[in-house]
Parts: sequence; C-alpha cells; structure tokens
Amino acid sequence: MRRVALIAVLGSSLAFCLAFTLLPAWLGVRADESPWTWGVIGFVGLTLLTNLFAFGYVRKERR
Amino acid sequence: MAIACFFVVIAITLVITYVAARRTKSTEEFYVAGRSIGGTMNGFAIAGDFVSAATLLGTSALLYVAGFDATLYLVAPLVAFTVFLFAMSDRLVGSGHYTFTDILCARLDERPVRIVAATTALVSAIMYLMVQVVGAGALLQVLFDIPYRMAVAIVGALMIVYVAVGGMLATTWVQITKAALLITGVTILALLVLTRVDFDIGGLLAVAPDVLRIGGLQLSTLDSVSLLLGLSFGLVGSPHLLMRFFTVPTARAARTSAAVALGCVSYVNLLIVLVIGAGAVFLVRGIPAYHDAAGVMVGGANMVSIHLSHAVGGEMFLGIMSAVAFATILAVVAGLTLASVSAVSHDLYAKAWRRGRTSQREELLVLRIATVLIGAIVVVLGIAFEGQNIAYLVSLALSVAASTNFPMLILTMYWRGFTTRGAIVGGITGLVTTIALVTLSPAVWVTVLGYEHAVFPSEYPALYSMAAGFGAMWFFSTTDRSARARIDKEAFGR
Repeated sequence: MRRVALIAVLGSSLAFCLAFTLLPAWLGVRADESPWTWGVIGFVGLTLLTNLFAFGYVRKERR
Repeated sequence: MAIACFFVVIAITLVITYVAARRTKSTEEFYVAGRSIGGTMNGFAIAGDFVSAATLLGTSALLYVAGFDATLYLVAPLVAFTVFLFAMSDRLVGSGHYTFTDILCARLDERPVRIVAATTALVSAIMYLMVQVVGAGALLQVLFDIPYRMAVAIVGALMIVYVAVGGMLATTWVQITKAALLITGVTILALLVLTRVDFDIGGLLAVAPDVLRIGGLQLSTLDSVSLLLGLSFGLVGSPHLLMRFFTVPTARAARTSAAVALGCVSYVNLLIVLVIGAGAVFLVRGIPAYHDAAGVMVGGANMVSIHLSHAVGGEMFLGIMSAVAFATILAVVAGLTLASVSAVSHDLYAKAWRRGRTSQREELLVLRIATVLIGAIVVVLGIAFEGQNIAYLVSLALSVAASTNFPMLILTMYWRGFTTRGAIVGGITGLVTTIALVTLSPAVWVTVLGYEHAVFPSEYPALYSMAAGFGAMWFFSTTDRSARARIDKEAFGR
C-alpha cells in the first residue's frame, strides 16, 4: 500500500502540474466553459485520493 | 474590533507560554516537548506550523489575480505529507533525536555532517523566517493600522518570548490554537460566502470564471515541474516541519500526525479553491470600497480574503479574520525560530563544537541567547528590507531544503551506499547551486541587481539544484572507498 500510494499521489500530482502547461496548448482547453472543469475535478479528486490513502494506511497500521 | 482581537490573540498566546514555561525544564522538554504530544494534537500543530499567511492570504490572492494556476501551490502539501506519511514518519521517531541532523549523525561521521546539515538547516529556516517577518510587518501595518517597524518589532519580541521562555511546548500550543482559529475562521468565511449563492458551489464558480482561468502564471513545462518539486520536497526538508515529528512518542503517533495534518491542510485548501477564491472574485472585484481611485486593491492583492471577510461578515468578522491572520503569522514564526535556534544551540554548539560535553543548563543558556540573537537579527533585517520585494527568498529557502536537507535525509534512511563524503559534498553542492541559480535568476539578477537579462532564465531552480545535490551525493558515495565509508555502510539499518 505504501508504494502504491506514493506512486499514485506523486504521479497524479506531476500529471496535474504538467496539465497546466501542456493541456491548454495541446487541446486549446478553456477553463471557463463550465465551472466543473478538468482542473477543479482534478484538484478535488487528487485531494480526496491522497486523504483516502493516508487515512486508510493509518487505520490499517493501527489494526 | 480588529485591535481588540489582536490583543486577545497576544494575551492567549502569552498565557500558553507562561503555562508551558512552568512545565519545561530539561533540554528534551525544550526541544521536543518531552515527546509528550499526542498524534492528533501534533497533526493540528503541524497544520498550524505549515499553513502560513502565504497560504491563507497569498494563495487566495493568486487565485484572484492569476486564476487556477494557483492550485499548483496547493498540490505541493499533498505530495509533502504523503512522503512524510509513507516514507519518513516511522523513521523520524526515535529517542535522543531533537533535530533531523541527529538522524544523519546516527549513521554518518558526526562532526562534519552536523556542521553541513546544521548550516543548510539554518540557511533555509532563516530565509523563510525573513520572508514571514517582512510579510508580517506589511500585513499588520494594513490590518491593525500600526507602523511597519512596530509591527516587525512586536512579531520579533513575541517569537523570542515563545521560544526562549516556553520552548517546544509553548510553540506547539500556539500552533494548535492557530490551527483551530484558522479552520473555524475559513469555515465561517466559506459558509457566509455560500449563503450569497444558496450553497451552490457550481453556481459560485460560474459567476466567477476568472478563478478557473488556466495559464495565468505563464509557466513553461520545466518551470511547472521545478515549482512543484521545490515546493513539495522543500516542505519535506523544512527543519521546522521535521522537528514536529520528534515531539511524539511512537511511530504510530507520527503516522497519525501526518494524516491529521494532511486532512486539515486539504480542508483549508479545498475551501480556498472552491469557495474563497471564487467568492473574492464575485464579491470583492470592482467594489469601490476595497479599491482606491486608481482601481488598485486597498492594501494590495494579499488583502483579498480579508476584504472578502468584511464583504460577507462586516466589521466584526473582519476583526476576527485579521486576528486569524495574525495568529497564523505568530505560529509559523515560532516554529521557524525554534528550528533555527536548535541548529545553533544543539547541532553547532553542543554537538559539533563541544562534542556533547555540555550540561543541560549550559545548552539551554545557549538556546536562549541564540533565540534573542536570531530574533534581533531577523527584526533588524526585516526593518532593513521594508518595502522590498523579497519573494526570491521563498524560492531560495525551499530550494535549499529540497536540494540539501531532503536528499541527505532520504538517502540516509533508504540507501545503504550513502557515505559521509557523499553527504558533505552533495550537501554543499545543493546549497551552492541553489544560491547561484537564485542569484542568476530574473528575481535577483534583473529585479534586485538591475541587469538587463538574467543569466539563468527560470525563477524556479529546484529541478536543477535537486539534480545537482542528488547527483553529487550519488557520485561521491559510490566512488568513496575510505575506511569511513565502510563504517557508514555497516551502520545502515542498525
């Protein structure tokens, strides 16, 4: 779980970060067409995923 | 109202310091609160230590000005706390450790490694402290209408009192109080904003599309990666955050600390992105009361969340949020001061210079003298830097931590082949590379020194300085055939 969580969070953070520079140029993405853009969903998803891994791990290790 | 809240915050923190001082006698109690802090409480303290005014005010301002790119700054703590939790928290806990340098010295040759690691810790902590103090002076000047110099002196005096009198216990409780105030404050602020849009977050984002604009920071791909690396691993290598993990008694408590801190920081960040940033665009932008005749925001863009609190909650809530911002500054400054002072009194004086032959009383005396000296230096420099743009110091502080403290610590923990020679040469390489790249960057070479073109084109050096630091540590460790290298390798895992 340690390794999966580390790779998942580091990888998706890097992808999120790269998306800021690559996606707008590649796809001509405009963020203001809808309030629930890939950016918002990505940030909320990444935050929830990280917390899920973190609290899941703490709970597993406690048992 | 703001002034009343200002004095209430000072009174609460001084009472905490007085109570803590009565329970703080030994060096262990001073440096790590006697390792008596519970996991959950330490998690709140880490959140209090981590969330600076730069996050609360700066990120809201960046969302307001530059749009959604500001979230890059909020992804960094997710990475940092994940690394703390999954890769480091278990190995940070141990009896006898007061600073992260103690962990390096448990395996490597003590004296040279301690001098290098304490120097890099001191550089990164003092640079970060400078940024906080200069920012605090400017902020308090606007929030409470007091002169800049007085504001810097008040912050300096309080940080000296917290650390010299109350040590880690006082610092911990100041940080916990701040975390509670911050979480309550941003929750109420977000709820008040949401009442204006019938609790429809999608609707709020729709009426504030500027906050979702992408590309506002105009980062290149390499800059974007470098920024994320610097922020994330700079936080992991920050001495003041690392030191908090020594205050808990067990690995289980350390894991809980990291998870709770992550939860608190994530909650605040989500509210900033989804509600407070958009609320500021919706309710503050274009409102004459918050702008001068030229259309510039009163107090600068960093005041946007404070203006928002006035827009949704009136004078009383403005006072409360100003007090929250003030408490935020105090808690971060206290943690940074303690980390800086520990590098001087514990690492450099007691261990490197006196080689451990000091009494507790002598070490505590040095700690208190160092606190007063560092406090005085920071106040004098803070006054000298009044009105100057010192944003490059943030980049410098975090890049130094990411390129020196973090690689030394993670390689000590995980790589059997890591040697004293690799640590020393790599640590110095990371430090020198970072300082050189920041000096040659547009922020210093053009803005401060006045040259037309920067030698190093990026303002984010971490990608390159981390590569230099890690590279030197790898190369000089793998080519090290000395007798000391054998000892270093045999000590791995003990």
